[in-house]
Amino acid sequence: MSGMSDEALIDRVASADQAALSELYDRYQALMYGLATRITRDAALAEDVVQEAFVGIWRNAAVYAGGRASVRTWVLSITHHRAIDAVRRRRPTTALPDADQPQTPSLAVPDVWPEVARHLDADAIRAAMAGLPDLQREAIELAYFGGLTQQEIAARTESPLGTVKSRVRLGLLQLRRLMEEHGPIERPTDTRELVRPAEGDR
Amino acid sequence: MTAGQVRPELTCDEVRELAGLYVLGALDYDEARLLRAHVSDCLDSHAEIAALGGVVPALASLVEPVPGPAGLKTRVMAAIAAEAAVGTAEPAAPTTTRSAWVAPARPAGATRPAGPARPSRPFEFARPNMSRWLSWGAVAAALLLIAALGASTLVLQSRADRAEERVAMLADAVGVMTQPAAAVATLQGTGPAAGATGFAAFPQTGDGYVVLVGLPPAPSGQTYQAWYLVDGRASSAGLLTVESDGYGILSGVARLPGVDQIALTIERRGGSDQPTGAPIMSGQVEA
Repeated sequence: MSGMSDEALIDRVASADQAALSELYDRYQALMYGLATRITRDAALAEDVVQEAFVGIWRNAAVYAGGRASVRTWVLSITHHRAIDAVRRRRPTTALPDADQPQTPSLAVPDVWPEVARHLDADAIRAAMAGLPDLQREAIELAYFGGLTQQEIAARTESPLGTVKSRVRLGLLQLRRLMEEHGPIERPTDTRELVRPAEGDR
Repeated sequence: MTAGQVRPELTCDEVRELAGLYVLGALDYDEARLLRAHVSDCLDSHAEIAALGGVVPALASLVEPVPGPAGLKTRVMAAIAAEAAVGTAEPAAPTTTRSAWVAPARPAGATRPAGPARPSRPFEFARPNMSRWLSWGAVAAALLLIAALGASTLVLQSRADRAEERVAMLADAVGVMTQPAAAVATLQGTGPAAGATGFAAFPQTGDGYVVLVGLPPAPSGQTYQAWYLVDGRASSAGLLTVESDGYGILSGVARLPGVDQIALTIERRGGSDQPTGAPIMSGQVEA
């Protein structure tokens, strides 16, 4: 099974093949645990996140949309969502879904976007990040790696909410432009095909 | 947002403003739900969301890989096996080994002491008539148990909050059980609890669980009580409420040094200082 492509492995996982999931674990656990540790800053919590992420992969392998994003991106998106959920559960001030929600957000599948930097290496991405104005980079990092909500970012940076929104939006646009300088970019498709109401939305 | 407060729908401009925060996961649950609702109904394709979202996966590339601890794969695969079992396995069948305990011997003609004020005495029991459980044997038994619990949880969909809490506790209990330093006992029922099964799991530090399934409701005015047995002496591990579907879970159970069996009895409501009846479930603790 070690010679199989990631996509073939996901197909096998979708048909409930535990050996395929084991192989997927070997391929991605270090990336997933690294991301979970960075976000949670807690080794035990990061283990929980990785376990929840693999359960999410197991349950949702059948809806993985190959071609739109790599398996790597998909599993890291799931890991990111679980890690954000975990740090927010730990912070009692963050609004969590109502108790009567039939599905917790941690069970939802994250949106998958046409990936811009699929062919860029980490150095090129680092260079693009370094090209952002400091305040924009800080806002993006607090959101993505800190799991902070817009209100929490505003409080942390002592900035108005509107400023936080613009910094994040302009920062991501600038990041996209900087990445485009490094190679061809995939064009976005119709967002409505990608953003669907999650189960549990009312 | 406070409960009951009605939040207006988002405008297209608001969605554009929030797009960056949305793709980074920085909206709270309600805000994200409103944004998704808008996009699914809007005439505008809101291409800006996908344009910004396509940048986000790159951020994960900035993180250095860190290999997970050695036991993590075992834990993950146990959780996956449990997931798989929910869809395919039959509820656990009781083993055919004889019961792991015997009731205290009583001289012929002796009457059962009346009332709760019986003296404390060693609780007699026999060793299980089987070889020691292999650790994976215990895990497998527990996974079958979870299959049964998963099925009963589905039945409880009209009580989603309770079912969700139960699943969360169960996931935590399985996590404890699969820790390398955990002490685990698999429990089998007999007599009025024939067919019931379960496990107890205690982490090296912190609190553990007793999880049981297949039990009838406790008789009126009585309750289930779990016990630690150390060298034949019993001490209470707590009272256990069994729900209408035969499922009972006791959390926050401390690991008692030297404990070699976990047992369950039926006691009067409020529990007893010492067991007043014969165990109806028991299992040997394997460290």
